[in-house]
Amino acid sequence: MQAGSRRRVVNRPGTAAINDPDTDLVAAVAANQPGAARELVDRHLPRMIGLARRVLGNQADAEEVAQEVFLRVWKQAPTWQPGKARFTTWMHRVALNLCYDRLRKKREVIGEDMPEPVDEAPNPGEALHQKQVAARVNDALQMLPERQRVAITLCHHQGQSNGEAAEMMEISVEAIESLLSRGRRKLKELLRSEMNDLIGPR
Amino acid sequence: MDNDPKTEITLETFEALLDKCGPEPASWPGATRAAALAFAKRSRPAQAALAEAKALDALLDQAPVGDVHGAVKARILETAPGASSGMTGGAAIGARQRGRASAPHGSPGGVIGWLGGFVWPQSGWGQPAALLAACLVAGFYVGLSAPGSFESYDNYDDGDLFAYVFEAPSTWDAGEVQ
Repeated sequence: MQAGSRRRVVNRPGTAAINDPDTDLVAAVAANQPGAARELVDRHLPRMIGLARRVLGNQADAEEVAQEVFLRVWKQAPTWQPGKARFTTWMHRVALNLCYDRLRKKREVIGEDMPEPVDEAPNPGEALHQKQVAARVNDALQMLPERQRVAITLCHHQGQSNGEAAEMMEISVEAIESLLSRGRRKLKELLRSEMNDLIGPR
Repeated sequence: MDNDPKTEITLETFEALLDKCGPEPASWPGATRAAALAFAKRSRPAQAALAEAKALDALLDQAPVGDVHGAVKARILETAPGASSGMTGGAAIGARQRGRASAPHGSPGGVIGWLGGFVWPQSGWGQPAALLAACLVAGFYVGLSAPGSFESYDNYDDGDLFAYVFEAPSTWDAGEVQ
């Protein structure tokens, strides 16, 4: 999904001038221009919810995080200074920090033994093969450690380059590549039978 | 290029590249892309690894990352600068909290808030709490003023009634408090 939106350009932080496609739109939001807020929401809400849902494991919490992110966007827009970082990078950082805060609070309440959140499985009555596969993949993703799951979501599902994702997670490119490697290897183990269905056993 | 030790590709480094960067050559570092592609052309195990990485990508593509419901978008736009409601700051946060009105699948508090949202769409917890307190006072008054309310009380010893109200059930003597 969202394959068409992927930008697979390797981009190392600090190696190129920041070309932020959101700069004008953020300025328009700050100036209360009609339609600007809606356009910014249309552009970024699906990614915010997608990321938060993947990290937190449920839609309701993801929507609350997305709302929090946009409250901060409205507050930040008038003072946003282009050039330091891309606006979407900042938004992803805010979303991730809000997600981590929520996970931390849940762990404090429930205890460190809390299992990884399990994604909402589709209704068993809807026994379409594609939905079963999707549920299986979601389960496998939820079994990954949190940061590996975030790295896979940013780079695969949101089409961020390794460098962009590293900036969003506030880690080095080497660190995110390590997360991606471990995440992909673990997913291959967990999804071996589904992969064999696609390509045949190795 | 393959002879350059910096870009020399082995099956191990090729698999590591796939794990780090995925199966799309466009996402591979430019310095190793050509060598990696050449290696994949001549190595059967590399082709198998590439097929496996593509299969994983295809599987990941089938896992949705979440839908965006119109309700959440509307709630966000309500809080935007220049929104018709004019809500900012505290009012915006109140709107966010009431946002559960369209999503009663949260905590019990969220459900109560959701129900409250129908009765007091413009309020927080203050009005439901005030009504609950008023109900308690009214109930207490009705209980005191109802005819015959004190007939049974007159039959009790004060000590029994105190024990009935304040002590643990295990200390009750059912025969005495009848």
